[in-house]
Amino acid sequence: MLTVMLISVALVVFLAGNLVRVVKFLRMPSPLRWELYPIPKGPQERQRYGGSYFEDSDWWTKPRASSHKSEAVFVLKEVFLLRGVWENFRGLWLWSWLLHWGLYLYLLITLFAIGEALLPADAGALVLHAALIYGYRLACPLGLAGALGMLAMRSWHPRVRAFTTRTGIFDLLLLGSIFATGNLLLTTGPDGLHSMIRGLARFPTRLGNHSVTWHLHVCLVAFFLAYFPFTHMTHAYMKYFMWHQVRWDDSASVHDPYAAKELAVNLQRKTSWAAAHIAAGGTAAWSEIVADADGNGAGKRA
Amino acid sequence: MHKVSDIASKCGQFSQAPVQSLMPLPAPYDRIADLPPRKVLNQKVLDKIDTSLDGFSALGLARPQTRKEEQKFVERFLSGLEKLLSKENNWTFIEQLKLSLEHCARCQTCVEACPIYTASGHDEVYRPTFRSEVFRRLVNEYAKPGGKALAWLKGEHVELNAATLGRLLESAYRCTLCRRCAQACPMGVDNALLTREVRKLFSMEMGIAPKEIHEKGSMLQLRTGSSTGMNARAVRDNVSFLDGEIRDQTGLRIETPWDKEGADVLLIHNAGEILAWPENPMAFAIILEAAGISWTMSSELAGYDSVNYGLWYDDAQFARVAVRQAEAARKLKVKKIVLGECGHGHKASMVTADRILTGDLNIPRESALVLLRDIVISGRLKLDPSRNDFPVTLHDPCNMVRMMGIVEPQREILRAICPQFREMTPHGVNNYCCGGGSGFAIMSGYNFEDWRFSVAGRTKLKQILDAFADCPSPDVKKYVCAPCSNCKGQFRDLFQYYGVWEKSGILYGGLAELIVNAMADINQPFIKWEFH
Amino acid sequence: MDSSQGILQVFTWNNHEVEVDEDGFIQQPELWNDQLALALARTDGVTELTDAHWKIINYIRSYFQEFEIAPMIRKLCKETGFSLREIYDLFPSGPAKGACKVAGLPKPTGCV
Ligand code: SF4
Ligand code: SF4
Repeated sequence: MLTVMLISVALVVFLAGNLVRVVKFLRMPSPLRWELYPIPKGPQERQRYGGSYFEDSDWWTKPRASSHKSEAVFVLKEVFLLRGVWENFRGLWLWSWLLHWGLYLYLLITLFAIGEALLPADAGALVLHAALIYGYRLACPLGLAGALGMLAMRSWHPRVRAFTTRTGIFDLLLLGSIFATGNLLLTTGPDGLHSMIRGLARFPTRLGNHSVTWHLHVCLVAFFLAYFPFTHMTHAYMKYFMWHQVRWDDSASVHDPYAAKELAVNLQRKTSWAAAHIAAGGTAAWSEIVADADGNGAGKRA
Repeated sequence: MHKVSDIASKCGQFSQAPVQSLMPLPAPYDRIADLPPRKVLNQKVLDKIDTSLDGFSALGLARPQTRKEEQKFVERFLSGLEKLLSKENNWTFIEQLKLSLEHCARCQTCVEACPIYTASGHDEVYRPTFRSEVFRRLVNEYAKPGGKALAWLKGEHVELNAATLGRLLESAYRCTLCRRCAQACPMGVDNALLTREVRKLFSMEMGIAPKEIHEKGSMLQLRTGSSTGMNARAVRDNVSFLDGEIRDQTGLRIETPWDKEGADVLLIHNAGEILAWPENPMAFAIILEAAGISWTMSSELAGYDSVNYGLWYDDAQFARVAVRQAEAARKLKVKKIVLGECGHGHKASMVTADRILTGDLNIPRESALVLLRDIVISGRLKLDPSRNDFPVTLHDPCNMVRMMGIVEPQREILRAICPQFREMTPHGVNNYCCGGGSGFAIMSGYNFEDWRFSVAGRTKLKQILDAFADCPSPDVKKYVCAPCSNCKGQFRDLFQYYGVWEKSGILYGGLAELIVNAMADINQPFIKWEFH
Repeated sequence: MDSSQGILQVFTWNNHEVEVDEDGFIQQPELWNDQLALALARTDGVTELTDAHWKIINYIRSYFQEFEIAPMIRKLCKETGFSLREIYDLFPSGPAKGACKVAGLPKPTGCV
């Protein structure tokens, strides 16, 4: 019972934590542009070499082409093939890829398993059922191999060793033990992990007798869920901001009806940067700072 | 091997930056013994300034002499840190800052992309993630609730003292903000952005920045109109002298138009061109007149200097200059601003200032490379490529190319007028920085130049030599086309340091000069094969 | 600490003192005179200032008085009649770091 409560609480923390993070970033003032090429937008011909609309004369008069397809292709390559790591750190790639695929599969199969558990049993469900079991049989060994390989890299590889932190090791151990206990579950029960999800998904008030491994696995997953929103692992979805809102955000203010309004709000913000050429120990609105031609300190000295 | 926390060590130099570990260069630059000896700072200077990072000094930061001074230094840093993390003080970049602070996996995928780190022979102090990690840990430990306890728990404690701060600050001036590492990061974390935020903190809170880019740079620009110190009278005097030079050299009678209201194009050069590479503004005048463009220059404050050094270190200075430049254009009611061959000026004005210049200040801004491309391709000029029949390679200024995607216009021109044009490897958006980025090209205090040439410019030099590997003899005159003042400044000094003109016959220069050199109606060659 | 960066040094000549920056440019232009010019030239290995030197120094100074900036190198050559090579022969550190320094001007700034 305790285990079930734990995972429920963890799920709530997981959802709330991630939501808070996303909302925090959504509410940030819209930043100055800081794009980085190549950007997967615009005509294919240009994308080939990373060109932009700035290559057109009178670019502000031309229609803006955006290509969601190219962006999607880019993201998919990054997510499923870890393109960036492949190109820039081949030695890490295999382990990282295994770990990521272990996680993806585990997550995907779990979602399916929940769905299946909630559906009435029929012939179709049987096929799905079998598929799910094999899914887990794939996910857990992949993930475990990835976690172990990454641990080895983190501890020995000269390129990363000096930058290995306790949290780095901890995260890998955590993921590794989730996959390890998952593997154990696969060997103990008739359909191990899958029946676990079934058990959990039906929100039982009474659970049957489960092995220690079962409880351990659920607890580890619960801990991971609650821990995840507070770690760099949120890069999984925060990449949206880093790629779309920063690296690829080339939208020009001439085409943005809100730009002037946002700027007006930002210029009213008060700043207290203390250097002599800014607010010099006082505070001043950004509009005053910008207007201060000599840079002699627009702040009203306290 | 160094630990990140060693940054706080009170004694000694963090890295010795030994010349023996430097990435080898091809012959005849392969003998370490042939390098000019490093400048030795006298003891009096060494006692006063902080060189504890790697023995070099970009800023000449004064070491705090007493405990009280040190405490004050740390306190001011902490108050700056708080501001950097607040929307009110840092609305300009807080989103990017937090994204990059919170999502690094410390996977080191980015590090091999850095031309400085690799050129140094993998000196840990220049690793792109090193300064970011120090900074990240300081933020986590000293600017977040419960940070101290968590830092101990996670084993990420970094002592905050004058040594830490001195080294962090200097290390922020060992990165050219070229953003090659950011391109390589699978997360989208940007170590260059973090570097710039560190620079900002010191400048905006404590007024600490290299004097070449602050006091004698953006401050001087706001006061006189140009970071060169040229006021409106001086710039007009100089340009009219150049008009005379055009007449003497080519026989063309050109009068550069000043403050012509309603012109199509307001041309803004990097004012340093006028003083140090006058053949570039001359070439522009010749081309624009020959192509029949309606153009003008402005003698308004900041209207004749496209530089905006704030891009490298200070948002307030950045915004002030950007607004002054736009005001100059607004006054003249021009159709568009065309930015001359200045990379950071391009990015500052066309990209970073975009959301600061709204309403009637949003005067369209275009790259000169695009205008030149249109002119060359249109056939309006009579061009004879055989006049440029010497080996030419192209340098991609990071700000125009990696950060703006202006890749092809300059190539279309070169392919049309330079029969022996060849690319460097890698090029385009994957190019290497010249090593003079983010202000380095104009920074020369103390012994900083030794570092700038032996480490920062090393990768680029190798790339250039490789591009001309088929014709290494100094008798074959070769041309590196660098459409950016800063890059040219770096090439001039870098080539001088290694004796590249004497040993390899490689000259550098802008793009417009090559076009004029190919103009069939001009009798003499425009490019003079003298090193300058 | 606002202006901590940039350590000034003291340059001594004939028992006089003047502040210089780390490249040897004097910080107190009002103290400039013929003897100081010679002393500054000596730091670059120039032992005496000939008429040719003075022609350059005087032009630089008069230009600076009018425009508050050093003349561009091309203009300097044209107006004094010396080629860049000749200027380097006279002032081994070159027009900016040599001649301007001897003429008591501040160090050139900006992207030059
Ligand atoms: S910046 Fe990116 S590539 Fe570099 S260590 Fe961090 S996450 Fe990895
Ligand atoms: S921005 Fe460029 S110089 Fe700076 S750390 Fe990254 S790759 Fe190196």
